Amino acid sequence: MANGGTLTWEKVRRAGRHLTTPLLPDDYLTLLNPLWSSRELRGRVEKVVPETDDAATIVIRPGWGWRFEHHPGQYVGIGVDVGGKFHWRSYSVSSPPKRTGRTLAITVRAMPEGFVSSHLVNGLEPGTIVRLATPAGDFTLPEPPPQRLLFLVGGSGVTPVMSMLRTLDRRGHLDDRDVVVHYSSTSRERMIFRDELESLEARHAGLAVQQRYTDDEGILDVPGGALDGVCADWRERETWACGPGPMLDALEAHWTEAGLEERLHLERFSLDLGGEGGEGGTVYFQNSGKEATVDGATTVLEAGESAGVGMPYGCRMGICHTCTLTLVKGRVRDLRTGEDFDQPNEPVQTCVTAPVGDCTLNI
Amino acid sequence: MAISDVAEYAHLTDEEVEQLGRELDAIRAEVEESRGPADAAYIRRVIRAQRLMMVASRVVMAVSAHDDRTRKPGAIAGGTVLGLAKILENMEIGHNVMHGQWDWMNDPEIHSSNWEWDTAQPAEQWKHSHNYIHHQFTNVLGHDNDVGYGVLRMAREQKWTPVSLGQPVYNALLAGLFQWGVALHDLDLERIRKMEKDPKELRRQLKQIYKKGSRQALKDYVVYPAMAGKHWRTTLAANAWANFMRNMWSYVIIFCGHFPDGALHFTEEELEDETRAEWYLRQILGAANFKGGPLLHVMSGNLGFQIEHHLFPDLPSNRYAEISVKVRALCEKYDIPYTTGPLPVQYGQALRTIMKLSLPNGMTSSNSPNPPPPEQENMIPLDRRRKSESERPTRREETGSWSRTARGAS
Amino acid sequence: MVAHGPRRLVSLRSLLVRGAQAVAADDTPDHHVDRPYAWTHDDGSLTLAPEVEALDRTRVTQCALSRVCGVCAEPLRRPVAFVGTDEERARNAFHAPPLHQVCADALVVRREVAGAWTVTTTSGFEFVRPGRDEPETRPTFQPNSLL
Repeated sequence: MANGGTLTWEKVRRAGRHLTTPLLPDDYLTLLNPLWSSRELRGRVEKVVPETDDAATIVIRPGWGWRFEHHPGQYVGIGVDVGGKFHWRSYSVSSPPKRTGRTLAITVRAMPEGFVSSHLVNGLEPGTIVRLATPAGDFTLPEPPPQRLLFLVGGSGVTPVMSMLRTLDRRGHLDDRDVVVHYSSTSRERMIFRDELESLEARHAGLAVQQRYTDDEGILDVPGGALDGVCADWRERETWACGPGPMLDALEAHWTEAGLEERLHLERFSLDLGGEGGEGGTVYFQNSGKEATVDGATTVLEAGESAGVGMPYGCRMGICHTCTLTLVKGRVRDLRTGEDFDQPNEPVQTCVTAPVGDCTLNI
Repeated sequence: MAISDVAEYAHLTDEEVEQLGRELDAIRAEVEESRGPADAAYIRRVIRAQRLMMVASRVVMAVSAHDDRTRKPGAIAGGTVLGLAKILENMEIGHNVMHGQWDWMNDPEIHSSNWEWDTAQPAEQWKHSHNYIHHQFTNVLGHDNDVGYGVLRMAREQKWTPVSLGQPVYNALLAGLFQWGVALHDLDLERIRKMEKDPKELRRQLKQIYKKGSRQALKDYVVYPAMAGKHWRTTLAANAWANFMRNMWSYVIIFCGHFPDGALHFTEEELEDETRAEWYLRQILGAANFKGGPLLHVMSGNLGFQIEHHLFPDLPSNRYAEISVKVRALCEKYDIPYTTGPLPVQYGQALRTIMKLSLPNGMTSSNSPNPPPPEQENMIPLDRRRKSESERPTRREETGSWSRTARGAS
Repeated sequence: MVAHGPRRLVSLRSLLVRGAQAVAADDTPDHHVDRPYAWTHDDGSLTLAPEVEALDRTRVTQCALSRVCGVCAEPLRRPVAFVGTDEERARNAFHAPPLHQVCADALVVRREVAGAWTVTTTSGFEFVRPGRDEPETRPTFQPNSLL
């Protein structure tokens, strides 16, 4: 809808309220088309495209009130109805922003025990109406983009980067810029957007994509200087990195050591670990009898998941408190603030705390 | 006769009352755990149907108005469907959503915090006068303004004055203008009459009512008639008919909830240190159900299950039917009266009470079951006045600013 | 007439001023984070403390049923926020009435309760009255759709 039209429409809508009070005209228009409402941002699932065995791209057609003005790299809140209840999560937008766009896409990997992500990947029918929240996040490309770029990607951290690459492609920057992508995934099969990246690379002289399968090759030994072998001129590049916490920690340390931290842009994927890590230790799960020994950068939630405990979680970023469990004994550290929790029977948010020594939780 | 000791009236020991409470807790827990997609689909379906009816009625009236042959039948049909849509909105949707029955869905569009209903009373005042005053102090004389709506004498304990002789007239006016009666409900006319009302609170509430009421009246009596052009009178009459239908119906349903014979009134002593189980018991004794088919129950907001609604005001209304089977069985088990009957009978009894109580007590007999006589040494004289501001447990003075911004702007 | 003119002007002005003050006073909320509604009693006294006894019992019930905030007494919004100790959060039953999120955030940093409470948000809640045989003597709020 053109800008002038929107203005007039607002006036029509205001006048229409005299006919529909106490409701809004939108409430009746949604009877014709569920997207014709700007009371809440809505979208309709157009299609669900499988990317790998456990990841899918969800293409959403937003309804009224949505502005295709997100910056490549930003994430969007999506509310889905599961079992009669709306659940909200945030996912990076993987489609490029287009003023003429009609759809937006998010790419989601089904997490074990993550019933919302599993539902999104496996249970979402095209035609489903979802709720949307406006895009947010500052992991974005500057305008115009720098001459030389490096993207360091781990696992499903590829989604915001894909949005950036598609934008660069659409604006012709994959030919007039020098772009290196180093993409780690456990295996070739689990690599989201592999085909598209390969085809982009084949078409554009300015793009080099390196694939790394960590099951075979192990993770990139950044502290050991392996980065020089991947991209010798990383110091001269503007770098965007998105992936698991430990990978980003290693990168951050490396860039800081080189005095180049302002050239590194990180997307902490789901949580912002501003504070220092814990010391690591063994986490005991009292009721299930399981345990996991983890380092100080691994959250209690991740520890539980790795041990196969049915851990509750929601936002995975310390906001919703869904993941809160009781710390029976021991000490955990809030990775955002560095604050320690060590009172007996203290409730802790497992998604943002890491063990400091051994600890026990009541699950 | 108002009841001053509920458990004694029901011939139950403390332990039996607690046991009853535990069984009702179990019913509640079961429904809470099983709330799911079917319930969510139900309320969405009802809302959708209601909005379609609303649109259909307005369209029928607009289209039929321009032909002499269709104008009258169109106005009658359109007005009737509009009335039904308003009834459905007020009873099954608005009333129940504002109780928070659907908050668990986490749907911002169907939530007690921002629902505004299609009647003159602002939702915020309704949540105070109904959800709080009426549901907490159900049928407690001097507290619950629903007892006669501050206009009618509904209990023998309320003082008779010659003004009461006009009850049949006041009753008819209240029924026909019920939405405006409800709109003024939270003002508490009795307190205004006695000059006990905080003027600041009064001003704020009046402002809210004026804003909401004028929007409602403008819609039905100015905007839609104006759109009908020279046939504006027909549209205006049809809209008035729709509002009248809704007024009569909601009046009948509300008066059937607490005033048929068998639904009891209570005195203030009941409220002190009441446990959850005692509260449950008071709700059962103070409410009356009526029987009917599924359609009647939907159109009355499932308030035919008034007892169940008072026990569990925030459980989804579509579950009251199944809950009622269990509650009724419990009442039989504990030998507690469970008041119910066909709708006309229940309303007839309420109407008879209104007529009888227009006369002094000595001239009429009570139709309520008699409680056991209280022991002489414990007898506390009944305080028959309605309570003033300072005597009430708490009468909130702030009502905030009701406005459409929270709902409209987003 | 002439003699009365100025005097009348003065009184008119003071009337206008008083009217303006009354209008302005109208907008001042009686309750805010310094005078949280559910912790203030009818006699005007106020104790803000993490203990349940600090709450005004009838006002808690009123907030629950009228669906107004326990701090500012204005209608609730979504999400609904609860403040409570870690213990209250662990068993998902709070004593303090539902609040606006902003009111809750402002309340938990107050000196009297700092460190004792955290904020939990939900879309809906159950209002559970105390039973005779339960340790609780006050009603509790049980969030049913945590956010």
